[in-house]
Amino acid sequence: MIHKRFRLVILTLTLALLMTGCWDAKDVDQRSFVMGIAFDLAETEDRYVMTIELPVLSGFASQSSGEGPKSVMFSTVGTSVAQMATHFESRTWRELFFGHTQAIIISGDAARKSIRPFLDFFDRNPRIDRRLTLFISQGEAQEIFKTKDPREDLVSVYLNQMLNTLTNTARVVKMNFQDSLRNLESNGDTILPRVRSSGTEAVIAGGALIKDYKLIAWLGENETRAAAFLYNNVSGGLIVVNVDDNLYAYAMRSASSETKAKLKDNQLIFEIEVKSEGDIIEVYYEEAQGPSAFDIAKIEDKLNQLIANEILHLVTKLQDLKTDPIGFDRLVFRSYPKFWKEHAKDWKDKIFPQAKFEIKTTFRVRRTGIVEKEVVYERQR
Amino acid sequence: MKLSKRVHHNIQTIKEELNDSTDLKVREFNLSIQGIREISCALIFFEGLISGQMVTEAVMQPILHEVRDFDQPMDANLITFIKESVLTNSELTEKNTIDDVVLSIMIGEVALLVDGFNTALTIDMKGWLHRAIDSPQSEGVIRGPRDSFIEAINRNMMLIRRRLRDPNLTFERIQVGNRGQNDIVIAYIKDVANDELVNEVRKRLENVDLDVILDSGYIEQMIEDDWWSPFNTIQDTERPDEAAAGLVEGRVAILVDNSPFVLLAPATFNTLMLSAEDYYVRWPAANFVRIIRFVASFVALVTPSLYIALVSFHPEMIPTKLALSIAASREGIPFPAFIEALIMELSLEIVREAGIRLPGPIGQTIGIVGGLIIGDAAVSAGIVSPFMVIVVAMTAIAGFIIPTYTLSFGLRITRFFLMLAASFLGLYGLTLGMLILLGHLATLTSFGVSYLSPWAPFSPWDLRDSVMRSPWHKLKRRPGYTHTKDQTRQPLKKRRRRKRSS
Repeated sequence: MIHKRFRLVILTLTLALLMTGCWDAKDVDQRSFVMGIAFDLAETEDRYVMTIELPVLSGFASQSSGEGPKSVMFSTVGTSVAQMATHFESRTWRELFFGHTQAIIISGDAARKSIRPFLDFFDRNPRIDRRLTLFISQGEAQEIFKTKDPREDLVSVYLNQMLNTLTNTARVVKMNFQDSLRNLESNGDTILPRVRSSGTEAVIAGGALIKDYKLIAWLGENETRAAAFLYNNVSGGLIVVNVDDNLYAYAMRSASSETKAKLKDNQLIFEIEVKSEGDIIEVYYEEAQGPSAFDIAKIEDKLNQLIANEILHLVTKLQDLKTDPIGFDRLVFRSYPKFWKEHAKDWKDKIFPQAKFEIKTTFRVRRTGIVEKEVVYERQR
Repeated sequence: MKLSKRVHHNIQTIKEELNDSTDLKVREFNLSIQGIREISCALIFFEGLISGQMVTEAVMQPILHEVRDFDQPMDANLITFIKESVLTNSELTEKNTIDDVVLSIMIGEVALLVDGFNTALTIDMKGWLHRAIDSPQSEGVIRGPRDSFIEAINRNMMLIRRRLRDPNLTFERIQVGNRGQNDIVIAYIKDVANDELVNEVRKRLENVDLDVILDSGYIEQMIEDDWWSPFNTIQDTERPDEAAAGLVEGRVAILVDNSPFVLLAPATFNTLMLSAEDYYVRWPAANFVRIIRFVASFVALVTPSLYIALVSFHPEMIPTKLALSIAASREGIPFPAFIEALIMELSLEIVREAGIRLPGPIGQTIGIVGGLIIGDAAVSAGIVSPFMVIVVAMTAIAGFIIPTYTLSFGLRITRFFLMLAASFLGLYGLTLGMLILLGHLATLTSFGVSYLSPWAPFSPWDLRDSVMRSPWHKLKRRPGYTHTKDQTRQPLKKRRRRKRSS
């Protein structure tokens, strides 16, 4: 009896090994690394053009001559992402591999219809690197892959790295695929980074405002900066303020924001507090004789006003458009679950546009550089 | 069989017993006592085992000169007289049976037979040639003593004794091997080593029933707890300082004649990972080296399997640029990653083994040729990728950092097992393999001591001398796993006693 049972155990273990193992073994060189994917509208209705950027592997070998193209583009037309991906596989003997995909770009025109059909395939795929970035392009999406930056062989890699660098300038919202999906799945709204081709260069600046999976408006750079503050993903950036006809360049070294929801007499109030520390890195004088002293308190006040106004401008615009990409709804849900339960249905149409915003900004100048100047600091109370 | 009183008869029997071997020398001579009596005598010995000059100077000459004036009556014991008043050797014994005499001759003694007496006198004249004390070949250190054990067991005992002038240091001799009759010595410090451990070692050694013991490796394999495991559970060392340190820690050393490797038991994975030098250099340096050593042994163990798992199963876990570069370098290579790794790892083992077997000067060239062929030609021929060469080079170099040669064998074998596991199941398989390995290590014991101590079972005190070594000022106790009788190496600071409230 024991012998039989032992045999059964061995059999089960062997099966467990063989059933779980090996099936997805495929060496790296047997896979096509899809670095970037672009979606455009096709000429016929309800069809899309999918363009993928693939690296030319021989260009990445250590003994490569450095000549020849480092990447190739393939395009195909179809109705669904999975279908189009299969088209590609019939054209290359390698399996498409999305584990290193860096960027998915959806053209503005396609996004105005809806970005939803493009996302499900990637959302379901467990091997997608969720740190990739979803871009909305102004103009044709596949044009982005035609730009060539001499410093980076693959446009998709360039885009993803550029976005990380740009976070330090507060000109874009840093949103990876995971963040975007989370926003979209909670209420269908989000802000995605905007990219456009200048012919030779891919430029990332500004944002695309998505409402219910549809592109409804572009955001300028200042609006995007305000949004970045609200998302609390500003890590640096330059703000120039004008005080007494002199321009002061303030470089943020750190920035953080906190939003709280308050409910008073059935009136929603959002208290937004932005804090930042930074340095004055340049002063631009109109006249030959500059100011003899820094009035830091004045600079700080000006900074506070500027950013508070920008944020207020953005939230007013969002309220006008009846969209909530920042996720104020989640905040209300957490703070006032009862209130949320009652009003969840007409959140975007009625409750959010009537909410009030109280914005408090605290900007601090910490250093003024090594040029000796008298520093005046008087905070009026 | 008893000795007879007739010399010729005895010679005949001994010759028959030893099959009249050509290296058996019988020197017959007549003793004339005061010119009256003539007694025929014989010296029997093996040529080569004893020093011929010594026989002439220290045996023949005194006997021929002194016994001439023997003035006792006929029946007086001439043998006793020779033993007590003539010969100056330190080791003399009287033997009564043929078997004893034969054994004495075989271990390098000279038997003196005198006509008319049924006892033989055996004189210790061991004088065979042996190697001079050299520096250790497999356990070199920069800082520390440079002498190593040799094949002569009495010299080895001397090397230990010189380091431990402790009256409690005990050497016990056992003869093992029904044909070899090889000397084995158990060494321990009587008031440190645990009695049960010493008894267990003695018992196991007495149970060894092998015809001949040619090296301590025989003994090691015969008495270890888990002889089917790829990991050795008894430490072998050719360093007398290491052996002495082991004795002080309460371990038992087993010296085997004709073997320059002394066994130390019990041994844990931890002790096998430590080098003698760790104790000679200052503690920050020792800790630094030990951490590197543990990391490197892990690298040597898993790098090829990690490479296989990542390249075949999880390319998304490799950084993008590296993944592209690996994919590019693997392009055109006809084998899957596992076969590629297997080819390279096997050829590494071949080069290594060939390097050991080849005579010294040629051994150097095999390294160069092997390195060139594997490193360069295989890559340019497109058989393996350059990354695989890096992986193999890393495992090879990291493997050499393990201070105990026998342990590195175990890890080398396990590496192939892990590679197989990774090639079937990727990282999941590698994890499974590591778990199986850990489970196996946890079941091992060495003379009852868990192989993974001090980690499992966890003993905080012994952790002071594992991956990290505390400074000597803090290492006041002997390790706990040996359960020593005397637990302190340095006086412990007296704890301040709480004042008792009266």
